[in-house]
Amino acid sequence: MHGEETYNATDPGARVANVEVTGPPIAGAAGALAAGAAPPPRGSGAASRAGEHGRALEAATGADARSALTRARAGIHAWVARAGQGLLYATPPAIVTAMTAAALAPVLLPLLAGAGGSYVMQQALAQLGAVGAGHVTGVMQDVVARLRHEAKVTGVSEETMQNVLERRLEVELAGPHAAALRTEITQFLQAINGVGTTLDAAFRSKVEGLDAHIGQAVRVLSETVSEFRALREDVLSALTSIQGDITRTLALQQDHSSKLDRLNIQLALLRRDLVFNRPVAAQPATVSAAPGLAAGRRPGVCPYPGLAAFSETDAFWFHGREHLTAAMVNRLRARLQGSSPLMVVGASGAGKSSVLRAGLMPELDTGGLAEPGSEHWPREIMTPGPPSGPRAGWSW
Amino acid sequence: MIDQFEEVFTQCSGGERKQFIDAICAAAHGTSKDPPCALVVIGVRAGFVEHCTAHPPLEPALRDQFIVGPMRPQELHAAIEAPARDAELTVEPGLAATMLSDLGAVTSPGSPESATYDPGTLPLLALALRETWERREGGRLTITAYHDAGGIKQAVAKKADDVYGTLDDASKHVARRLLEHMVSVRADAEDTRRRMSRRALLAELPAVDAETAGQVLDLLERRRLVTGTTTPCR
Repeated sequence: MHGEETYNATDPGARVANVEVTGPPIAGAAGALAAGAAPPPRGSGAASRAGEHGRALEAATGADARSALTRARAGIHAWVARAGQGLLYATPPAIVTAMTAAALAPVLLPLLAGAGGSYVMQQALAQLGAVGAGHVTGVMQDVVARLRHEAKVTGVSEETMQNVLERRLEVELAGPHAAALRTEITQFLQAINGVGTTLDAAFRSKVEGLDAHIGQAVRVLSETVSEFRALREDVLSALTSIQGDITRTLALQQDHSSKLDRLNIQLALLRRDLVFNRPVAAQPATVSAAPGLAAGRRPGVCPYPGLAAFSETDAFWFHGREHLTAAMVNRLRARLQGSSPLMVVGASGAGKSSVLRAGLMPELDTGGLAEPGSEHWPREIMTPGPPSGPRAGWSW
Repeated sequence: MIDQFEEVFTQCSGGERKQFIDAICAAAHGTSKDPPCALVVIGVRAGFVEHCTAHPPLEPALRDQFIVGPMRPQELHAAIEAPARDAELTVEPGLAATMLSDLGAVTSPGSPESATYDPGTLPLLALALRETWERREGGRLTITAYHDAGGIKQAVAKKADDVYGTLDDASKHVARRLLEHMVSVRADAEDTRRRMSRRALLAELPAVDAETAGQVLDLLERRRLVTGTTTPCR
């Protein structure tokens, strides 16, 4: 018996769900769908929406609805966390089967001790906003019957339950009703936002590339297996949600790192004051590796180099670029573990050569890298071109 | 540290350039075999950044450029006044403000708000400062001396004209020929100065008398219109 109904979500951001109902219509389930028509929230960062949907489900199907949905999603999170790296090697069908089993396991677990009839199973699914359809409930009943047969009624772990469900689903998916079961699985996963939850869990798992792998797996299935086609939209909306999360996280990090940058520049300036501007009386005979910088007065000397760039020995006269130099030393320090060359860019005549020679070099000479011993590291200043010797040309 | 990195595009062949860029990137970044062995800083003229983009190994460096922009007004004040203080000179009140105003760094003298100015004009300020110092009046850098030197806009031209004016006709001709050969003018890049040995420069100009050329270069170098690093080769 088939009925086809279209449910218009009350949430403007939610999709219009095309739900094909297979199997006998259940009063409770139909009621749930009619009243709590809004599909569940997706992805992370949707706590308030989750709350709304939870309340809608509660109103429609009873107090357990919210906790059932929460438990189903928690089941998915637990599965992804358990499987971790291993999921990178799972095939698309295996991922969807495991996803379904992981969501069903915590819902089915408390039913193990109960009557275990098909009505109970259907109600459990209805609580999740899913249609209590025949094939999934059949699998659930089978699993309960088997575990009871093996006298495993109490003390069954969620993981065991998931494994048993998974194997049973695999068998059914190779059987004569595979297509119908796939349709039910799609509806179930859509109802609980299983794909979004899985991608969210993969994102949180910090296993690099897991998100993309699972998203790709579901995409492949949605394109090659017609019953899974609807899951495509779920991947898309999950991506939107996760990318939003990533963007927000990056913005926060950027904000934090600019604060650290500013602090680091202040500290570098303070350090510079401590090293270069010590009181004259306090200066030891060998003041520093950069004698050009020792504080004091030098009457009678021309303090301006004119057209030539400031050289390292002109550092004493080099003023106004302290902030820029501090920022540059910090950027260089960030490269101590190996990175790209630091590319210092400026217009011709903007003072690159001067800040490099009279600003940066003296800083490095006096330990500005804040790396023990760095003031003694060998260093080389060169300019590309013919072998050195007497040269003509402007140098700025 | 590689200063005037742009010269890899004007002074090197394609093969040398690639080798050089690969080598500095490997030194900075490390390779699968070797850990990084150097902190590498490259100074490059903004006009040559486009050339750098043709080299994939430079991509990370290009993504993380360090920009040397114009100095802020208070930084320019420091650059003008702090060296004078350290040389026990006094700066006439208003001189720094006049210089900033001529540079275009402030909207009007005495106004602290900064305006955009061409960051490439710093050498003109530096020259004007030196020329003002040359004309100092008893330990005092004055506005009059600054104007005598031609201010920021005219200081280079005035100085070059002054030096050129002291030459005899033969030397003037030699100076023109020499200076023409010391810039690289290319259709596909900004004009750049050229760096070369005296020997190479003179080799490009067989018609020029070597002795006169040597004297002219010495003079240009002494007056800081040309920079040389060591004594001329024989």
